[in-house]
Amino acid sequence: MKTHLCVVLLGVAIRVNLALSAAPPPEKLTPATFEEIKTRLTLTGDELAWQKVHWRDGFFEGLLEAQAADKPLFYWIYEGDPRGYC
Amino acid sequence: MKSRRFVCNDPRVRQLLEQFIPTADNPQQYRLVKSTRAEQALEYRLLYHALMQTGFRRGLEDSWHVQGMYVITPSGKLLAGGNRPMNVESALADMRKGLEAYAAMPRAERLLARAPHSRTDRMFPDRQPPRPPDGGLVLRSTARGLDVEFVHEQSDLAPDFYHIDRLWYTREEAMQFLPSVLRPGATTQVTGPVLDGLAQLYLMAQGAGSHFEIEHLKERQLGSEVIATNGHAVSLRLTGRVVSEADNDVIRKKYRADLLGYLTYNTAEQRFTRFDLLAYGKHNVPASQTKSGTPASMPLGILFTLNPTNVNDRQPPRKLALYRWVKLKAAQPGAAEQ
Repeated sequence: MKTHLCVVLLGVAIRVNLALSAAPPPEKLTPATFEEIKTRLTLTGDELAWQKVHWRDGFFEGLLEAQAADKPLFYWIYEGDPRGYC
Repeated sequence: MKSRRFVCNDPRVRQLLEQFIPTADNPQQYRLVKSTRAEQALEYRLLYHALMQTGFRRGLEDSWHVQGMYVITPSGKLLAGGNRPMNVESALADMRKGLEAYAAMPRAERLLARAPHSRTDRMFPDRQPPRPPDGGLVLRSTARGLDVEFVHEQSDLAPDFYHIDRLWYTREEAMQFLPSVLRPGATTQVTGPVLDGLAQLYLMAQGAGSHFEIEHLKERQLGSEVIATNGHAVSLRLTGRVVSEADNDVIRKKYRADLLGYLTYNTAEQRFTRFDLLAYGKHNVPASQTKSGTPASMPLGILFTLNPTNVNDRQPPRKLALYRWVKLKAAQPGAAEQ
């Protein structure tokens, strides 16, 4: 029952987010528009799915673990660190 | 979802990543290597050699201009990869190609002869990674353009993209959000580096300059008012406005933002348990990022919240090196050089 409720609420949240992103944003920031603008800026689970992976900080941290685990590095380099730019 | 994160948000990519050590990096720290000792460090040599095999050879030699996703062995050999961060199929193909090549390599070729020393093989063995100030306030900022008309869809300023960063305040700085008396109706003005640093480093879209000079801040005001108390919980409202304008060779940005925020401070725990501050207003858009090819302005929002606990959120502010310049105190010794 709880799972079903969570799925329904998640579906509603996604629909609200999609509907908001298609509509023009509020003209002004006021107490009345605060929550809508905040919702538009709040990152969704889909947008943050990459955070389910533990990205090591920098080549050397990755190298230490890659050598110990005998695995290749999947190395993502981007100006300013890719984890900030989406 | 057209986010640049598209590749790493893809479930197939995330599943394949289990066979790798996923690593994120920023070229800036290598760009600052000036000494022969650092250049000869295993950390630098291995990476430089691997990236010289990419299409960024010239950029690397000139100024460490390099980006992309690559499969690299612990021994420093480049196996696959490229700079197509929004192309999932390409990333998947590179990952599979890299795994096949790795599996086919003799152990002595794919691994270093000895394990790297966790300190002495670093470029800067005595440098400590920057840490947030003890007892301070750690916020995450999320910036997103909300225009649905003018900006072309591949622009960083389109709503499908976002930019996240961290903001560190010392405890002393964080306390400036609180009036001296925590009773309903009590007010204070947030001034000095706490507001100026926020405006100079964070209240802007990405690109075309990293920071405003103080003289670029045409208006800046932020007030804090206690709106309610409930036991140890003190609820506050922040209201204000920042207008910034710069148009020179270093920075070309204009942002007129209203500020509104809701905070909760717990007097028993002596910490903020809620921090939701919004900046919202019109920001200029360069012609290169508009559908029409002419300059425009668009709604840009920036949300500051308490930093989440995900391991990937444990990152220092990107502009920490500029903290001293704007007189924010959270930059620690050594951080400015990083």
